[in-house]
Amino acid sequence: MHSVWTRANTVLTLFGTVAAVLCLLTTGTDLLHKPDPKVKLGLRDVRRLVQHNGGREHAAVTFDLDADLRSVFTWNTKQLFVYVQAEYETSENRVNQIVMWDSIVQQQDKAHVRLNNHKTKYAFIDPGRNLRGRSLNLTLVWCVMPRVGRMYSQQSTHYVGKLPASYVH
Amino acid sequence: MEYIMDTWRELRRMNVRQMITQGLQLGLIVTSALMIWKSLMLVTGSESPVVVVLSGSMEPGFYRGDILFLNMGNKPIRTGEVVVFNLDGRDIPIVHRVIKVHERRNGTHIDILTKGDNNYGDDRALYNQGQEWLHQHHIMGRAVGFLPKVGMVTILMNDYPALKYALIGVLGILVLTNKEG
Repeated sequence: MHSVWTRANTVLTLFGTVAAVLCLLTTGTDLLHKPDPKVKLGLRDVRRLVQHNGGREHAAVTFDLDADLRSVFTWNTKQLFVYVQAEYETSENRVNQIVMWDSIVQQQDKAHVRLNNHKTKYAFIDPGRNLRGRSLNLTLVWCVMPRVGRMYSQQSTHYVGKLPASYVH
Repeated sequence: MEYIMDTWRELRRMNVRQMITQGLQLGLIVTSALMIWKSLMLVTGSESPVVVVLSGSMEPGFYRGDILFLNMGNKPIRTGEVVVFNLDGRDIPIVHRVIKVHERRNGTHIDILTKGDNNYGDDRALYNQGQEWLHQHHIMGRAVGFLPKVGMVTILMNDYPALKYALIGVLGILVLTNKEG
């Protein structure tokens, strides 16, 4: 009745149950958190807009970003995965999303991101010839990665006007 | 050694009915686990509702041994989502983040490009020869929840198969000799 195995079994089961409940409560606290991010995002310059072999268009752009994401952190936040993406519609595709830049923010006091005339990390390429004169939205998205539990993301979209109507070399 | 002799004597003392009962209880435990797994697959819509992170390509967000809870859902795939996908002809699923999406107007076709947070370049180097994009049918689920380190047990059991057999053996013996049933 009170063998080592029975005791070990009981202790481990209790440990598992308590740990599971604590994890659920921890991730539950994220639902009560009200973040207050302040984001300014804009397109600064279109340095190149060219066509490549195979009919793809490629734009080299720079952007400005001022994002205060410090209030997004909770005690259960391990890191923020922050990225800027270009969004536009074409006649063939109703949704085009292209991530141009991303960054990992692991500490709350480093969560105020300021980028000036910043070059993109990843190429802004459309599979077709759809970029000239295209209306563009730039969106800042932050993915909250928890220490335990539910992962979620929030975003802030800004309309930045149209890309140039003709190629820029 | 003493414990093993006691267990063996106990096993030999049981009559047929007791053995069958114990066997049924073991069967019940196994099938309950299977039922829970299958219902999770139904509820989440994902072939693999819980996965263990196997590589370091998503560090520092996900380390080897972390557990991800997946959901599929009906919402279309969008950038930033951490998806689990299977490439044609390969059976090891990969967990990376979507960085490009091109979805056709009628919603029937979607091109997806992924990249591991900790990798320098995108996943085109991983995709099959000549493949530029992933499509809806490659995606097995999106990560919605996270549990650190608990999956290390699975990785250890994969790296040291003897551990797997030892664990199953011990659990089997414990259930078969459980007198409280």
